[in-house]
Amino acid sequence: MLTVLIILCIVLASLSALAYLLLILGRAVSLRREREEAMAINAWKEKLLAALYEQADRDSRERHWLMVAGNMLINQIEGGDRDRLVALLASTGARDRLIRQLATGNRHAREDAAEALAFYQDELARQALWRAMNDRTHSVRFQAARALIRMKAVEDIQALLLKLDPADNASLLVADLLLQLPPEQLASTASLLNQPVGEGLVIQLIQLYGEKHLTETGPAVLATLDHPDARVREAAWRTLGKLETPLERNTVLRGLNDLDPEVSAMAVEYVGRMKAVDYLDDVTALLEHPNWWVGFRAAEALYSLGETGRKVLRASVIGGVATAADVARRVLLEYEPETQPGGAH
Amino acid sequence: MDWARAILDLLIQPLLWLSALILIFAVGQNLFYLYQTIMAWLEFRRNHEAERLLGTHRIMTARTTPGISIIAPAYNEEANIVESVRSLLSLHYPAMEVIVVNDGSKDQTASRMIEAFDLQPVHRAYAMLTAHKPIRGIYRSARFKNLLFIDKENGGKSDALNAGINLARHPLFCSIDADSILDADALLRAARPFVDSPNRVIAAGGTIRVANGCRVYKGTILEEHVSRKALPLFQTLEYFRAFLIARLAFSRMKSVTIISGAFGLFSRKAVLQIGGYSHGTVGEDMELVVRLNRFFCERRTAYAVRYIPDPVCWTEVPETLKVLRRQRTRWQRGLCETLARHRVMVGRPRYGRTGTIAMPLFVIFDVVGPILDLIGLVLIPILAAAGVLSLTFFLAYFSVVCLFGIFLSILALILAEKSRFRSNRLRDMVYLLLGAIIENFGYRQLNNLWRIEGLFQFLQKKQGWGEMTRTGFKATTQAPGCD
Repeated sequence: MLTVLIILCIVLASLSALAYLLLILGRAVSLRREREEAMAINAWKEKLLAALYEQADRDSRERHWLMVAGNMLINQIEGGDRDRLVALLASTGARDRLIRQLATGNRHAREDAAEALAFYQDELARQALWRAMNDRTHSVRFQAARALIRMKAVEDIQALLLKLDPADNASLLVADLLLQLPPEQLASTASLLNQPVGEGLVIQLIQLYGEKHLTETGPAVLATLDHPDARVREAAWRTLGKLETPLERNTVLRGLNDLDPEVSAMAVEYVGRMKAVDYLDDVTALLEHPNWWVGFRAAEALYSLGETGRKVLRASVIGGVATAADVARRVLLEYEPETQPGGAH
Repeated sequence: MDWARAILDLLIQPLLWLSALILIFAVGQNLFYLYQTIMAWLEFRRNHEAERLLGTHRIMTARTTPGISIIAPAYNEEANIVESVRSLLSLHYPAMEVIVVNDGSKDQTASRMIEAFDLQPVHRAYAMLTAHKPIRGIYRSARFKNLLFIDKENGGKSDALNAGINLARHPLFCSIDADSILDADALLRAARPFVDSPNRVIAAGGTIRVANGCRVYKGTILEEHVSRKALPLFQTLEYFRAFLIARLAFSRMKSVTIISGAFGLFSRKAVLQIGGYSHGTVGEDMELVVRLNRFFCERRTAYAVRYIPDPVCWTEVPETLKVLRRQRTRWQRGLCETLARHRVMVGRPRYGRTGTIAMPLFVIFDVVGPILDLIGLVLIPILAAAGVLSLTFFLAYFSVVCLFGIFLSILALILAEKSRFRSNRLRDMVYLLLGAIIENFGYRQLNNLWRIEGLFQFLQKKQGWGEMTRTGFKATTQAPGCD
């Protein structure tokens, strides 16, 4: 038993050392090859392009390797050369090969095919990529969506978003796309807010509506104020403030008294942005909120409400309870340092 | 002398049993490390896939990416502070602020900062949500609007971090050592779990790597190299094993209990819920994560603590035995303090895998393990020399401790080579291989001795960090192209 243990340890240690030595050897070879490749690649790029441009007769094996090489090369060149290469590859059947690979290859082959097809700016490639949006594997759909975005072939943005995995990963993919959309197309995504697309995407959309000031999305954003995810409600309040969407009193009061302090703070910010003096008493009550930040935001909102709110703040500094006095003093110190003791630096 | 022989016989039998126990323990320990290595490989592949799908540029552009406040406590860091802060300010992240907390330094840390970044006193509203020593002043850089400098009375690292948490304005905070260097994309990579599962993930840790031997210029790692000095080389291997194997495996087993104080990302809200960092411990990083686990398990709230290997933080490790010993005994004290403080969690299913897997393993392999290792190191050769134990037994023990150790170290190196931590130079690979062999003959045993020393210090209730002497990255600094 002990002898076996000794032999096992010796064998394992020796094998691992040998494996690592082989790794070093492999690295030495690959480093040398990388250097050689780097030098040769530019020369061969030219030669390969020239070979592709010559429409001479080739046997099937030569055509096969040219297509493989061409599809690899397509990522590395730009401008007119790429357009020419794409046209030539399409004429040699490389695009059809990628479409077949996208439909029937293994997972990695399908992902690669989706990526390469982005360069074929034609209807067949576009259709194949849309078909791939129904692929059973998330990562293939992901690559297909990326390719469609790259091709700028996404007329129906909602359809694309709904095909993606509701997981947050997928919603991040579209961040680039959403930023590039014209305002009217972005506004058309508002109906997605009520569909099962994942909270990540909903938040992104709501925030973008606010940033792009898409007032027409106000009603859709308003509907998310009852969303179970507090982050969505928080984003909705922020955006409604930016859009300056008028809300019913009950809705605002519900936001001010939300159980999640972040949401409550955002609702307070909304009141501040809207300069809604009607809520003076409700916001003043929040100065004593158990969450310090809600109190602080309430003090900031009061400051934004103008002289009436500022009077309340000054009164709170003198006669308010400890929390209210603290947040009021800090806000006044930040915005009017000269009026507060010890505030002039 | 029959009675003497009888006493000897009486003594020998328990010693033989103890030797057998030590051998079985060593085999069990190494088998567990092998299991960890397999788990680490699986987790590594999963991470690699996630990283491929959700690249850093997507996190950079996503609307759901949360803001981060970087909190860097500094105590007598005049050698590195300016370079480190410059490096922090140059990190790639869409929304971040850097908060440097000067924890009552006795050297020129504050004046260096004021001079280098044109700091000016400001007011900043904050609530005392976590306890800390009084703040003497808050300064903001006139040149970098997202740089805040807090000058406070000395209260220790936890105290400084608590002050930073109170002043932080973003939902996440990143605790880092002021003398560390983050990779430019480290925050983007570390934020991935928070973007993936924003409602679940409360903390995430990255990898710490050894900067000794690297070429550093103005707070940036220019070239990644392995130190030629023995101690930093051995520590490089240790860090590979600790991060690429152990933490990755614990992450796979959903029982991460340590996020290094040198680089960790936390949900500010979650940390405030448990009252911030606790005072009076030298292992505040582990204690915080264990307390977070305990808090959320007790409330039966879904949560996750993750380790991801890709974000890298570079740190300078001790180059002398004296400083290294001080560091290791402190780490062991920190571990023991945390285990003692949260002993109620050990083995209790109520505390999930942290209670049933991670903490018992710490007790077995990190508290009891070094003691058995050291007893074995002394006892087994003596018994073998006296002819009580067979030569085969001695060789078996030696093989398990040293040869299997070499095997595990090399597996970690192979994993590192397959990841983005691959060595740039062939000679670095050779040094690492030599280090992986040599460290098993002396260095590891020395480490175990320091761990036992740390255990004794804990039992004697010794407090304090001790001085950490640093050479400063400047010592290895060279402008690009000045080889």
